[in-house]
Amino acid sequence: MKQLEKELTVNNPNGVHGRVASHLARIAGAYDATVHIVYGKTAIDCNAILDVLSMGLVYGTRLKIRTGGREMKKAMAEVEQLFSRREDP
Amino acid sequence: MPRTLYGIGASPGVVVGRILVLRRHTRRAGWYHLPPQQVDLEVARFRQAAAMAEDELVRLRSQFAAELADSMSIIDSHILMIHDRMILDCSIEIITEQKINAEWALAQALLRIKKKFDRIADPYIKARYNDIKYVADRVFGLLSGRETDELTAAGEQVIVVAHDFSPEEAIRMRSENILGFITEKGGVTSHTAIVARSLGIPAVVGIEHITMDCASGDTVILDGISGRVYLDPTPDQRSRFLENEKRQRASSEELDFYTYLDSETVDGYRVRLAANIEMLDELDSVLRYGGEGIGLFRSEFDYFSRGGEPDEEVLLATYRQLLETLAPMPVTIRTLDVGGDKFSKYVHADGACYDYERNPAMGLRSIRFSLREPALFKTQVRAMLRASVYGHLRILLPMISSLEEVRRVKEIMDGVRHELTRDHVPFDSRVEIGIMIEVPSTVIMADTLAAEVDFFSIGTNDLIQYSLAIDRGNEYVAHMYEPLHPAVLRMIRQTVDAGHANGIEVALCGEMAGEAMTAAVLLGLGLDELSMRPPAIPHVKRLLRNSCSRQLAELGEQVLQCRDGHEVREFLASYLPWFYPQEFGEP
Repeated sequence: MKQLEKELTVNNPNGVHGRVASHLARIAGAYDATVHIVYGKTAIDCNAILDVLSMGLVYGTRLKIRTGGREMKKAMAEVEQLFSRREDP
Repeated sequence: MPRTLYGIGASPGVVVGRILVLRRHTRRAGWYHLPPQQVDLEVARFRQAAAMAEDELVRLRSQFAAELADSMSIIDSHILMIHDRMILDCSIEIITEQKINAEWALAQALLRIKKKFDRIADPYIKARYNDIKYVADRVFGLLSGRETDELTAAGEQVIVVAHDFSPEEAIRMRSENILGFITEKGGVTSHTAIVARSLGIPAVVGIEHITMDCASGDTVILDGISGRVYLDPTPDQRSRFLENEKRQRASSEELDFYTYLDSETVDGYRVRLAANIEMLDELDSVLRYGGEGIGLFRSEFDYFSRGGEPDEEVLLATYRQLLETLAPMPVTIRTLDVGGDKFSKYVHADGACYDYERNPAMGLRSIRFSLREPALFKTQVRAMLRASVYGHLRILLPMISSLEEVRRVKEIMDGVRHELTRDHVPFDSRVEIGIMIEVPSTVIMADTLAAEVDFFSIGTNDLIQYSLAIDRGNEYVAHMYEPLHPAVLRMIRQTVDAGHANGIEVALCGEMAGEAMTAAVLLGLGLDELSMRPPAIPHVKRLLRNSCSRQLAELGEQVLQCRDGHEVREFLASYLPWFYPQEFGEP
């Protein structure tokens, strides 16, 4: 299956906290696409908010985003935008 | 018995009222084994509770719509958590595998999540475990059949006290008659704080044990600015408080009158009252409130507002406008005062990025960062020096801790001056260079440092934090943050004496300068300039104009004799009303 992968940095000073994580899940739900965070050895499905939170992704963390499915490009674009912002979604 | 409790002011405003204490009963989940035929029913019971909890949240969300956007996104994340496999699937798995009741299974699932979160170092993300607990608590509640809403029982206007509120609870309270919130847990970024601020309701957080210390029906005065809560105030305190309120409202007009008067005592002793600002938009208010210059311009805004390092021209434009607007009054610009971690994105001197720091207050920040990134710093210095021809510029170096740093900064500045001269770019050669006194080592070495610089500016917020070893954001120790600690007062005095012995000015910028009681003390300690948020200027000016120099000096001597912060406050409570009945009430 074709997939997209991009390396991103967490720009929100508070890291990936509740509101950021729930926004990720919303993106994953809004498109016909899968969204995974790849960090260290694990790949986490962004639909699982507690998994995402429990990774403890702080400000400045570099990670990879992997999207797949019919609308993987759109999903990736929105995730990129989310990670580039300093403000809470 | 009247008592004062100290917490963290989380949402501004002062209210008096009776309290309603909400006790969150820690739900202990009983354990029981299920007969095999019961397991499916138990799973269904659990699913139903989870679905009901979700419905509740969805309903709450739709009731309060878009006006509270911040709080809404918190609820969204709670809705997602209910669905999460770590809660839903995991609990169901435990029910079916161990054949036990849903409450116990949920408690086990929660424990596993907690273990994961305990490993997270970042305190903010770690604290999200509390959200998960709220969500689980709702499901617990539904499983055990409660759903009485304690809050709706309150008919009169109350101040609500609890260990902590979930955002849902706090939002629901809007429909009730809520005067204020007090919680045991939390800092200024807690949900209670965020929701309270978005609802415009005063709140104090981080008062340990308050749910034990008081009972529903007690009267309190809640001050969401200072973080103080006065329990069972005496009728006297209460009326003084109400009077204070009235007076503050009435006096704002009367204070206009002070805007154009000189800031001096009846016998002509002058103290410059300047403004702390960080954006050009605030220049208007500096002039409106009669500021005699800027004692602290925080220069960070330009570095973060456009998501990239600003070039020299951008900085020059900002500094020029500042200086031109206020000329000939002095404008003190503080060089960049942030931690290196804020720059991980675009500044790399050696290709490395700056990591998350365990202890940023003592890490790579302020002048340390500037000296590590000389190119960035030189750009700022060049912009400042080029702007210096448009007014009276003073450059302030933050977080200096040793002479070595001052000398290195001066070398860089000399280099920049040399370049400007070579390129025939005009600048004012008389620009004053000063240092922040906020690290205790600089107080002790103030006599030596005074010979090297043109002025001192005491930054009390950090000086207090560093010298008393208190992090104000920490709920357990915030009450020990005491600006009137004699150690702090003596350090201020020592700095003033060292500066004056070397013929340089000593200013002070920090919250202390803008509050009537602490400002009165500072006027007594001989500072040459107090810099504060602009609206505070007329208040302090009135204090000064109602004083005479001898009396101020006496006040300064008296507070230095006190043995602890409590004694200082007691002394001031009896002393100040005699001299300043307008501010502190008739004695």
